Amino acid sequence: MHTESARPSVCGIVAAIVVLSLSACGPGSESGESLAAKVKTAETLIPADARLAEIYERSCRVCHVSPDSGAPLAGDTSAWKARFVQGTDTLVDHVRDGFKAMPPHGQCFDCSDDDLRHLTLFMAREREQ
Amino acid sequence: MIVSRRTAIVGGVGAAAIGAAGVAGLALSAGDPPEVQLPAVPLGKARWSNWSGLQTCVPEAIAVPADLNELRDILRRSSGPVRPTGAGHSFTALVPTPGTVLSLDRLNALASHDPQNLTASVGAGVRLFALGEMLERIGQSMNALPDINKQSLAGAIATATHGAGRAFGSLASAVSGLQLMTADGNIVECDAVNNAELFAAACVSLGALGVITQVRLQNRARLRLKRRTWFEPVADALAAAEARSREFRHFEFYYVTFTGMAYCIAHDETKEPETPRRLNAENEGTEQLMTLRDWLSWAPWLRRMVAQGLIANQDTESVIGPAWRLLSTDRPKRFNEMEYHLPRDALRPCLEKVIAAVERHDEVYFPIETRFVNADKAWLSPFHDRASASIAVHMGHTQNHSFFFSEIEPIFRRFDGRPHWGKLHSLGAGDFETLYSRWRDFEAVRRTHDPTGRFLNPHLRRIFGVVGS
Repeated sequence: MHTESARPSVCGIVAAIVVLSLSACGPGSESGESLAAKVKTAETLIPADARLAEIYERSCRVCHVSPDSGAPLAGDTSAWKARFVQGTDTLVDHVRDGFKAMPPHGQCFDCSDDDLRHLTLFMAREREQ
Repeated sequence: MIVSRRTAIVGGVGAAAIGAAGVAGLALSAGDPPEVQLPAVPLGKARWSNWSGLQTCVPEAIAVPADLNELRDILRRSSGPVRPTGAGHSFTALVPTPGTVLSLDRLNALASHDPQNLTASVGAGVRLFALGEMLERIGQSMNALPDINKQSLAGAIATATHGAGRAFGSLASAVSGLQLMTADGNIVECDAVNNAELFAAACVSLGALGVITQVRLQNRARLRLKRRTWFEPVADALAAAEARSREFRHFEFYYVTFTGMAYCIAHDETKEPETPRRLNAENEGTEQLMTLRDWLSWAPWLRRMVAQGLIANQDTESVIGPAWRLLSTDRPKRFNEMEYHLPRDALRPCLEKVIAAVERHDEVYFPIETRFVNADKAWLSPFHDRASASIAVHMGHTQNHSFFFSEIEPIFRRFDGRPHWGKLHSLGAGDFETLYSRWRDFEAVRRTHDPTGRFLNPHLRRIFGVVGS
């Protein structure tokens, strides 16, 4: 049995029903137009370096061009900026060790840490610090 | 995943629950248990993990051969066990090994295609997402596809991964020829005429016969589908399921736990123009079902009422697009899963019992998935000579799913179910010998092509009843 939730008050129940009667909408999300533009940008980006481009195509692209994957879109600088606050090294650690739905190495097991760094910077459109 | 992959059908459910909590000034959100931190990986090694994180290993090496020569070198130079990996979307321990994990990600190119016969030979490591685009460019499409687009082709066929559609068997049934590299580094080609026994065994072989390096697919011309979705009481969905599986090219439904409602999905071929792609439709639904659980699991009646009330407000959906985009999609929310394939007439009584068992666990929030799959011919396909209905149960990837084994699997087994090879089950060689008429034939082929058990790991030793390390 699930035991982690506490028991709300009668007020909570009443509030739930009131809110239910008023709201059937999901949480606010990015406008379809803005998101579509970001997806279009993501789908056109490809690393200039041929070797990195090949790795990007097979290991990164599938998630990083799809907003449904939960991964930040390639080229979506605002989404990446929030992540870069942690520092590039931390992001590279996340790729190498796996982070949330991203498997270790982003499943690129022939990638060096440098490759992972360059690919992360490429997707974020960031320059090497 | 699940309901949310088609559209955020329960988007309003969680929003309202969250809103209600906010109004009441409560702070109850629990979520799923946190991830377990794994020990650091020794210098020079890398960790392999499946998608859900349930299966992990730190092998001696993870090799990514660029071509057949490199693959041959790896097989000849390494001495320990070798396990091929695809995208890591199996929940069973098919991959973990102390030896070499072999990624086929670089063997992913289109080798050739025949526009007359609509066949295409592709590198076995190609991911389904990329394969869909690749086939689209040459005017072809696979007939059926599984839910998740990340899987590798070799991994999908080797585990008899399947889609939904009573006319279509597992992905292995789309294979018209295979190229394998055996443990000694030799290449063997097989199809229904040449090396026919090997072909029947190798189509669904769990990576136990050799490394599948190339796959020839029998495709069809480009396929555009129209998707329709709707809700209805699960009793109605069950009553109509058989007829709908005949009416629609692809039909499936999800029972949304603790609601009494089913979410039905039908796909049919169409010549109508494509509609705009739905973006970001998958990220909310399951999270919101989880939130609903967190806030209202103390009151099942309210949880059901809230969900039903909001489901009633959901519009039906109609989307048109290429089959590879509509049938296979992302899965942002990780889970562990058990799926069994049953005789079709067992669907209703089995699903009713599974629902009752699952709803004894109010920590569950993932829907229960039901699909129809045609019979196929691969010796170890769970659909071997049996048209089937499939039922799948899911739990969040950090949740305790032990009741799958103690409460759900016995129900599936009572109805003569065969487990999905890549999804959780507890069966071993003795069970499979009963379930599969060609089990011993497969074993004979396996022993011929891998006499030293190079491609076995502990999980496969249990599956095949091989004693020793």
